[in-house]
Amino acid sequence: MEEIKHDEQLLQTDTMDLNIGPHHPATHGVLRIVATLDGERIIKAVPYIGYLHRGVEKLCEDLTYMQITPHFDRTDYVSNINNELSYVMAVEKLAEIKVPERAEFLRVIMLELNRILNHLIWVGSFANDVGLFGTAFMYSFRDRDLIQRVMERVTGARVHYHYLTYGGVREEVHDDFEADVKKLADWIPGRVDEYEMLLEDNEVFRARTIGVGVLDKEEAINYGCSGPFLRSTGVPIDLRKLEPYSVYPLFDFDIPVGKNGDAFDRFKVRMNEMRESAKIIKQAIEGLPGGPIRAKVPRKIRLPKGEVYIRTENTKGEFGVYLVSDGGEKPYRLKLRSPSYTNLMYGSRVVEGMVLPDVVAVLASVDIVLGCIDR
Amino acid sequence: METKTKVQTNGSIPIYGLGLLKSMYVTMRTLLKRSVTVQYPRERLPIPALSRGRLIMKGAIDEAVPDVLVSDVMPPCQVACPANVDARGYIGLVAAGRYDDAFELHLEKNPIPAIIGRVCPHPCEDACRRGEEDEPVTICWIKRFMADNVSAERLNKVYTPPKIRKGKKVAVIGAGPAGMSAAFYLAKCGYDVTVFDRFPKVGGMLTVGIPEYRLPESIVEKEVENLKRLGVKIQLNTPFGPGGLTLDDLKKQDFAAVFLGIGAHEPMELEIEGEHLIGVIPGEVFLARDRLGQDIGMGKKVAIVGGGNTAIDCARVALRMGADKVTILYRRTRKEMPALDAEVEDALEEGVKVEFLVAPVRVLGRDYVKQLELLRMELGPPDESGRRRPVQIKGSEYTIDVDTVIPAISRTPETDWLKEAGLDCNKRDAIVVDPETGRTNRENIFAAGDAVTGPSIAIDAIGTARKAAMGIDRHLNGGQLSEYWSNAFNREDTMKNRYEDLPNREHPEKLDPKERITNFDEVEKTYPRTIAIKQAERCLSCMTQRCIACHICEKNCPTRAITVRDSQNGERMVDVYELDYGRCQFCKICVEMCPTTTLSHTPDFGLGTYTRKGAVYGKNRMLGVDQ
Repeated sequence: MEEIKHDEQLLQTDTMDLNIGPHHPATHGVLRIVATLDGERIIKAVPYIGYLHRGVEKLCEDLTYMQITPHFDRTDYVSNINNELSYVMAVEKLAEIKVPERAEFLRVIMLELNRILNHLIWVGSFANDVGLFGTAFMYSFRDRDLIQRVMERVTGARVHYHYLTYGGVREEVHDDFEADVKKLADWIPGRVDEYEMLLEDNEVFRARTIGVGVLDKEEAINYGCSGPFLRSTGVPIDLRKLEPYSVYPLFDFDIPVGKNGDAFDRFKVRMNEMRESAKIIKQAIEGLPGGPIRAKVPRKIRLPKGEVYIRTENTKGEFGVYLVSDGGEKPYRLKLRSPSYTNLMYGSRVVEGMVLPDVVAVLASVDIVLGCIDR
Repeated sequence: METKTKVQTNGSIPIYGLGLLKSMYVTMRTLLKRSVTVQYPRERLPIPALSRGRLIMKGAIDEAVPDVLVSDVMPPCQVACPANVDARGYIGLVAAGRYDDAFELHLEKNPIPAIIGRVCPHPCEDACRRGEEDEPVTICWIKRFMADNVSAERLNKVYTPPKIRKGKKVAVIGAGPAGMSAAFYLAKCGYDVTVFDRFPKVGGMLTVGIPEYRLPESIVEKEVENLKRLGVKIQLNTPFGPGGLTLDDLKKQDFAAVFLGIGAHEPMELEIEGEHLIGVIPGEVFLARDRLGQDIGMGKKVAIVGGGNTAIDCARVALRMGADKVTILYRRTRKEMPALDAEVEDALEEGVKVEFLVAPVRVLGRDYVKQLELLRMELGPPDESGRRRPVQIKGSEYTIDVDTVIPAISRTPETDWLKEAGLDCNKRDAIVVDPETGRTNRENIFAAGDAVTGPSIAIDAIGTARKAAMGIDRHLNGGQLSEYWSNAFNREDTMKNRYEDLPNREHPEKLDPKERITNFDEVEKTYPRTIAIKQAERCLSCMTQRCIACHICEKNCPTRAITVRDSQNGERMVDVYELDYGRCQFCKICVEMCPTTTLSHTPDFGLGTYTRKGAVYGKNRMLGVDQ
């Protein structure tokens, strides 16, 4: 035994720093991770961010309240309408605007469709990263397109919708909207079953996800994690239930949670979330009231002096907007709280002690968007 | 021979083999048992033919510029006006120098522009689209300028009795704004109208409720002269009600219909102790006594309770009548005050003191008012009207020395005896009518104005009175509306094609505060011609679908993708309108901001650059595809 010990000491190597990214398909954008390796084990992984920094927060200080909204489409560019909501609600709270009911319902429908879009793109790229190249990705993009077509008919855009505005939504929906959305809502759960069928029992998928990137419940809370990332550990925190906003209290839906907090649970949570979203959409489209889609608000709004913090459940977690107004027609300060950022910080902590390929799997399971992290 | 059923365990290869077998088994099971072949959905959701649509500038590419105003959509000012006066139309005509046409257009909805131009709290200006950009257009002052500059010929033409006579008599009770409007429109329809009023002067609330320095008596008299020229008979000093003229009397005198524009003249009470002491004068009574030349009975230290325009008027009149100290007591703060901001400013300039967050508790004194006990208030949560409700602070009572207290809170219609006569009235003593026709529950009796709406602004009374006049006409004319506007003029060019960059509204000249508190001269003067035209050109001609080269789309583009170049030949016209697709993020803010709704977009955005003289670049051309 002693000899072996001696041998191990002899075999000990120097650590090596390995650069992952910033231009690497597995980093989901321009993220650079410097991993300190001992053999194949990771001692430390430090994410370096800022390659996609556009200065959105500073930019917003020079724009009127109406001009700011499209920039929120471009922070987290796969959950656009969800981001718009936080900003729009912040303005509405400061200006004390009451949103018409129809607008709130339309908002919820679009928000949940957007949530499904996000989870679809996630499942495709996640399967891609853990080794199932192609299939899930192609399927998910095919399904995304059908949802995007409906959203395009409403908003006029496939990605950067710019649909919400303070006081309501920008455009009335088309005549077939209800039928289209009903069709989608009926059809989505079946598709989710398909993804589960495709991935859940797959040996490679299981090997790469089960027991990989296990989160500690308490530490995840300490880091400020949120969204499906946190819920995979079994913490049922969802702002839609915890601090209900818009018309979410009217709908019956559950918060899916995981058990072990590993990458596989995060996959399950997101799949179940899509089913819940479909449930919400179905209820919303059935109860869609008539009436105006926009409150009477001046186009160039002047907010009273004051500050406000609004947080909503983004597709990735708590997306917050801290808005300070000095009474002018432009904000004095606008600060965004990005769920991707906090989740990434804990995600990069979790990979310590794992082997190198798991970094990619964990990173993929966190669901980050660099546009939101760097802003 | 021993058969090897077990896989050898020494070495690593067999273990690997087992793992491979297991994984293959799982994969095969998945593939064979549960087929995951996914088909594309058979039906495809229909989407518009163009994957992206177009940004259209009306009148620029495929549509001709209309020469005549054809717009069914009302601009925001017209929507905000209770009488729906076409402000965009007459301001456009004033900008074109056609004051007479502007006046005639104005009469369609409001027959007394000279008066309204002086006293209206102009809700239109609050709604003005220009107000979102910089400052609203001075609609009210332009109206006043227009009304003061009408030529005598046009007045003669407008105020000639119509040739077609209906041969029916209509009685109009009350010579206030409602009565005057109803009389005008009915006379225009060819009815024989007689106006009755209990005061020795015409004008109703305009005379007894608005002080001379805001509305000189000569202006009201001029309007009445015009009405007389139309053939309207006016009987003053004729009280209506018990002891005077009654509904039955009117029936006996062969009136086919009766219009009730009796207004709301009964002051509301404070409902506090000592309210009936000598020296407590309700605001309406105070102003009426002043205008009718009666003895006011005011002391030197005056306290006014309330925060509306009447309270401000009372304060300014009291100053002019020689009071030493005038204090307005209001239970909320300046922000919640219903009085016009400009009026409050003027009053403060003249030396009126305003005490906020106080409410009177009781009036002290034996026969005469000596003191007023007040209670401090603070603001609580908002009530139904959206204003924050004042809450009493207990134990904060204090007294001030006064000899006159003027409560100017609100007023109600005097309809007690009308109820007895069988008319439906609501809880607030207002007459219940059909909102479209002004019809009451009694045959041939119509009502409008403050008597129906409760205390409100003059233009509101005019709006309801016009509807009631139309209702009377329809009723007497067998369900048909007469073509009362027989001499309609050519309406081309009510939409102007000029736009003034000037960011500020200009205030007309005002008398010096020190000088004006000594007399009752009109405080504000009418615009001179040059300023009026310049101010009228600030109008953005909302909803006309004709570009006025205001550059608002360019200014509001978040990415500065739009370039607008004006015409070089001196006209306010757009020559080139360019959209840089390298910058455009398809946010549609330009379309939303366009005041004239000239810009519009197809459900999706267009890729192309357009100039006024036709489309120059398409997307493909820009990309170098079809050069």
